[in-house]
Amino acid sequence: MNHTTRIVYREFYDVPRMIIVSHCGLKLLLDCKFDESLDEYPTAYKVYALPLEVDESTLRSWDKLPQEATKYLGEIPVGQVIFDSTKRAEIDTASLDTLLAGQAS
Amino acid sequence: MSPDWSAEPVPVPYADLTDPQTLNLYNYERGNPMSHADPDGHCPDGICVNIATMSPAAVDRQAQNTTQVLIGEFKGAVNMFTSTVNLVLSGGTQVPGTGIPQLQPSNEAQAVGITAFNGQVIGAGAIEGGVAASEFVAGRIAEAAVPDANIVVRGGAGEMPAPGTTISGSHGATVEEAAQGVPHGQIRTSTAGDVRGAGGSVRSAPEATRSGAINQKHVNIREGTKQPSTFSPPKPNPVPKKDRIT
Repeated sequence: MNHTTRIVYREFYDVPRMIIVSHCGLKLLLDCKFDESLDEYPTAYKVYALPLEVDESTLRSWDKLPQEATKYLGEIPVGQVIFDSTKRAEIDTASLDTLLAGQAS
Repeated sequence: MSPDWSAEPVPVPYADLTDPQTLNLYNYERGNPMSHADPDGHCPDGICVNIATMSPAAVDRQAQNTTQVLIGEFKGAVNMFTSTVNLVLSGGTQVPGTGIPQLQPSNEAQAVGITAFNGQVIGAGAIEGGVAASEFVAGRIAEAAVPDANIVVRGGAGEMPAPGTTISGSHGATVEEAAQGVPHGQIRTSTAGDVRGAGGSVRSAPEATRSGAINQKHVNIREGTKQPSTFSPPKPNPVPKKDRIT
């Protein structure tokens, strides 16, 4: 892991399925919600930009967070997100950088 | 002087029937007082928990509470555990003012409830020093919180991940109880004892859901290298969708 950033998360199944991370001045939400039709978790996170003023620590439920997003940024395959050894504390920022670079171009 | 036969028999506290030495009330530190300390007079290094008389729910609570206490007690005492520090080194940072390598909480340390208490991750730096030792304790407690007889469920019909991979699942006294802890319509089942018997591990790891509830049934499963897998082929989840964790 080259550059890492701290995460907070909800819903853990093999990996965190709902992650909030601050990166490049943005507050990002990575959401991999269980898909009833697939009967499985999807293979990619949907990535949203959240308003900076959202304070997830005060929210009991994160269910509505995707609706509060200011922008949908795209998807990152779950397999491309590199976690620390606990899978719960940090992620490598490379996958975020790739997504954001694609947005800028 | 004759014995008092009227006395009621009393269970040996802190006994572990898988470890007969714990039944010896006159043994101190397994006969090795130079290498261990016993601050509360019950077990080497004071790491035991009297779970024999506790309900499964109480064991789970004890696992969470004890780990937090242990982490607190071990904080600052990392010099005692330098031999195990290398197991969990993460990066080159140090605990401020100590010169001691900064440690990172392991899956197991978090598995017994650290993340579950507030739904937030406690990452590197939040827990200082001694995590390696408390990690060992936490691992034992987290294992104890999932008895061998408990059913372990893996959600989904996909192929089982490779042996040695730590994966998520759910546990309970019955298939129905365990199956509530996964959202999947298809499940595979095993028992904690079978997974362990094949060289794997099953550890309690409560996790917060997106709604803020705590999934107390969540477990970290690591299958051993013995094949085939102890998990059954996929079968329908007997628990209605509305009653499963979301």
